Amino acid sequence: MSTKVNESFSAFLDGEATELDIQRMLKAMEKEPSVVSHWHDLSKVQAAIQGDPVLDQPQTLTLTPEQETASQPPRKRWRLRVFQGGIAAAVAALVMTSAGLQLQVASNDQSAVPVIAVQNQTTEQVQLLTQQQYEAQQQLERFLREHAEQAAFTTGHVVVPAPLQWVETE
Amino acid sequence: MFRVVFVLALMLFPVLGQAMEWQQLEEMRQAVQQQNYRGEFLHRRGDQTSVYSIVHRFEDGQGTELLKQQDGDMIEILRHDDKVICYFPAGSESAANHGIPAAPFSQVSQLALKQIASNYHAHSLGQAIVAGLKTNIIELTSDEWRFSQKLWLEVDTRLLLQSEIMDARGQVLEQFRYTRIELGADIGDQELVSRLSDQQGVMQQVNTKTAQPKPISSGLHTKMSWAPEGFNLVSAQQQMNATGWIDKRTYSDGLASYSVFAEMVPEDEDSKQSAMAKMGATLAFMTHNNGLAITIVGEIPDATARQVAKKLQMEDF
Amino acid sequence: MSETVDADLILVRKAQKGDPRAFDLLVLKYQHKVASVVSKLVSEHDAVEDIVQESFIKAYRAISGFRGDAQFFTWIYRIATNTAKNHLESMGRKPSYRGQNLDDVTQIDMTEKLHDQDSPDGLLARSQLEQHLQKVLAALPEDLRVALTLREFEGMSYQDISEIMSTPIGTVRSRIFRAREAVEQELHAVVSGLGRRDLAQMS
Repeated sequence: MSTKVNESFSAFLDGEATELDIQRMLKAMEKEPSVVSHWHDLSKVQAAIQGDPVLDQPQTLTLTPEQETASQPPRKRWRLRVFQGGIAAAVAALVMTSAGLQLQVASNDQSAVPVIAVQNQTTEQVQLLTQQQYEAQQQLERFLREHAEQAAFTTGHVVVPAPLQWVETE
Repeated sequence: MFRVVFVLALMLFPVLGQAMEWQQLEEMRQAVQQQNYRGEFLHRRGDQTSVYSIVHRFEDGQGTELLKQQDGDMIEILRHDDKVICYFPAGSESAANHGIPAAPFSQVSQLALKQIASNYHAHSLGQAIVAGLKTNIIELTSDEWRFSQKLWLEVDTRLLLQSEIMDARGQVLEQFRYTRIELGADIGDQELVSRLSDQQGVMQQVNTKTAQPKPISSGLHTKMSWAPEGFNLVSAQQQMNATGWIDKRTYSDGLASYSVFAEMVPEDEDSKQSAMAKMGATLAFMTHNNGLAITIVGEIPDATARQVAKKLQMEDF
Repeated sequence: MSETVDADLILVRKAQKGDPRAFDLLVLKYQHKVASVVSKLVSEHDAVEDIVQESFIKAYRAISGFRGDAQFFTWIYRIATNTAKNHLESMGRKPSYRGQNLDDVTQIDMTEKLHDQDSPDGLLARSQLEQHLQKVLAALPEDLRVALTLREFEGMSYQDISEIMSTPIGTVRSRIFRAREAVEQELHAVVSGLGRRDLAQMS
């Protein structure tokens, strides 16, 4: 790894990077992904001097090989789960809400819940899944509320909250 | 005077033969908001039934209404002119996540009658007794993109005493019906005070009705290439939240509406999975299409929602 | 030396075209600052790291919607505060900052550093770190120390530093980088374990 590219990263931290610096950094990342670890160390120096909290691990999306072995499995799975989130979690949350089981993932009857199956969930995974479902549920409830209030003003449709009934997944 | 102007306006409607029915529709809206009455109504959505008591007074050009949930969370809603105070008894605070309950046609300030007349056929189905009062029954039917409705209007005041929303097979998806009503009631101030207003542990939420913002014409990240005939865009905005941007559009045909929420998903999260949930006539359809996570919420049939979802895509930058 | 560019915007555009490395560079640049924002709102050290990670994931998911009207940091700042708020709400706690409801807070004081709100143990750790830093900085060759000090403590641009030090910008760049690398080597033992410990001290 050349000094030049590290210097480019240092300048980038200061908002002083040139077009060439950017090209150089991206190329280095492609050629040698572990460069990210060294840059992370440099960024920690800046954070320490400036009094910011210092993150131990880089929060980058593309894990370097050494991070792959060093990173904690639950965090990686969590990352994947975030990308997997969305509809399934939203529907699962809806079903749970209607059953009065809000924030309880370990439902015994998941037959109607089209959630992505997670084998051997750890406590941490369950908590993370719960968090996603909770967020998805909050979002859907917000959509329903916004629509209901708009419809009451626009078309005169009644606003009477009721549990949603899940009908299908495909 | 108003009625003369209104009848003249009706002359412009495409279907003159149904003018009386359309006139009754506007009179219904006015009656809901401008009559004095107290009673109890029932609302049924699928298997779910809710009961509310209502006291409504119109005085000096302003309406005041106290709506009390008689089951479930037992929340109470006091509306005075444009101000709404919602009282949540201790333990029911999560109900604040839902829309504030409102009787049909109580919040709409103007019905888009011309648009409704273009999209629906009105038929008079004769008369029936509801909650001890004689009513005219009007049926509003249309095409496959929307549901049908039936309205039971009290013959003298046109107050809405019953309504139903039906699917193409005639199945009632949603029903509103007064079980007890006293029209022209003399309503004192004490009847319009929530019993929860001075209780400990009661959460209050105060809202003020504000004018709907005009739909924005630019700044959205998605484009919609189709809407069922007769549905017009009434609202378009972009929201930012923790997950990024969300484009929101609402379309209405005057009597039914649907909202489309869209946010981008990265390729590795894109999925073919779809899901649907229902609450009476209201449907929530969630799907992925063209790299977007799309949620459609509205009082529309499944097929309409599916077709709408197919026609949404990212704007080209 | 070629012109300095708006690197953040260039990287955003590349990320929008699907280059995750471009986004990673933005993460490396801003992750500690985002942690600083989050740590003002959330006290649990484990949660801070999770929220920072989640914020960047949300930002990446939404990157195509970023138009460049605002600075990238302003945008990620909003995402991070919302994510922290959601976290607190999911834990059944009312999000607040300095006793105010978070919804009413429009700007979090970014000049307020850790030591302003830290626990006694945290203050001690911070103080020890600062002493270490001062020693390491003092031991640096003068040209490196001055360049880094003017940059980090005075917030000067490379152009200003080059004028003050009467040296080309390229030399300033090089000196600042070499100073950072020297500090990193000297503080490696401390800094490499700093993340966990530093965050732990915040709770």
